[in-house]
Amino acid sequence: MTPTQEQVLARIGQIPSLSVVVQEVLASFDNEKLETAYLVSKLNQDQALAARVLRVANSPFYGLNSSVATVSEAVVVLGFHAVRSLALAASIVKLLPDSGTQRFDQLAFWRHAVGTGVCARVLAGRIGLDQEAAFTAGLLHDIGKLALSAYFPDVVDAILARRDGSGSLMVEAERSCLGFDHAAVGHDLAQLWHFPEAIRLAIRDHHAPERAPAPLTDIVHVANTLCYALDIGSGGNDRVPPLAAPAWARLGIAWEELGGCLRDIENLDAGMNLLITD
Amino acid sequence: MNGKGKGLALDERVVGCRLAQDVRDAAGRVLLAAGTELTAAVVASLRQRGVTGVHVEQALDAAAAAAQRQATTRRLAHLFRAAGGDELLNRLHQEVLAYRLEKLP
Repeated sequence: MTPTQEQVLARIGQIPSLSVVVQEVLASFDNEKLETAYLVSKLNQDQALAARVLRVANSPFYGLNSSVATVSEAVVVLGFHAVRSLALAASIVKLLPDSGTQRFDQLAFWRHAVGTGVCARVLAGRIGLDQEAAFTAGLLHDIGKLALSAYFPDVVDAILARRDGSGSLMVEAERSCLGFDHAAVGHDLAQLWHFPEAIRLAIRDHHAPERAPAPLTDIVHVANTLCYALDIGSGGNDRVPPLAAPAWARLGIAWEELGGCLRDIENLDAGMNLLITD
Repeated sequence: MNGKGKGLALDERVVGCRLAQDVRDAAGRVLLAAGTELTAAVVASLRQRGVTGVHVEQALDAAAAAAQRQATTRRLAHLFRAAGGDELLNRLHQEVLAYRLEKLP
């Protein structure tokens, strides 16, 4: 039986809460005055999380001259915002259970998520917006797909069959099968986890950036398309989704700049993938 | 393309080459994935981590290079197959294709 959006919400309400540490780190996106010492002390309370952050900090893409052994050093050399977004990414990657359907390629999903986060980060850097909030929003933009595949595997099988039969995008097949889509489910989950509003709206509107135009939403919308164009992982589509002309225009990135963006994206993506590999 | 690539010492000669195999640390964890382009900064960073050699992709002969360019062009045509008359997607297709082909031999 096809679930309603309320039934989906009721089910994802049972997803384990984010740890207190992660919730506090997340809430700090709205608190520019948060002190470094506070972040370091919070991360040091979760050693598995700290270890994953250090692993990425030590990847060659940061080009550091010596290895980073502690969270404090990571904050010094990478910057406060970068460490915060890495910590958040590392914790959420491990939170949702594996997909319940064999047809949903979880590794390809996370590669697409990280790739979109990286695309968003690079785009934000080009136009002077918060790169770390962009990375986080990009990383989590399809979290609704993961929740659906984890808790409603039969429904996702039907959606995938519809996609294959009609040649449509996942989001179109979801709307056709369910009457709502993964972006709405992701938004529900983001509310449940008390994500900052700009990130919540970017998740909700990444396929409909005209619904409530906002810089972060525009970035995630474009980043998603770029990630498919670069063939990095897959969020369930084997083709590049449409690019909304107003969202692209609002970013104000010239076509001549795109080659440099693509190069930065591919270099950074290789380092960030250490978040999801064992 | 040679699957395993050519083993070279980690010095300036590998800058600009592409990794044919993952680079791993002593514990076997991946530091850098196969396919990554080695920049001067990355080479310096790998040296700091005690890496002494890497396997890089060998230069392709003309026929193999042409085949790789064709495969890249075909893959992108597949990904953009639904673009139709969408000017923005068609422009993106051209830009990504130019970027990809520029990186190939």
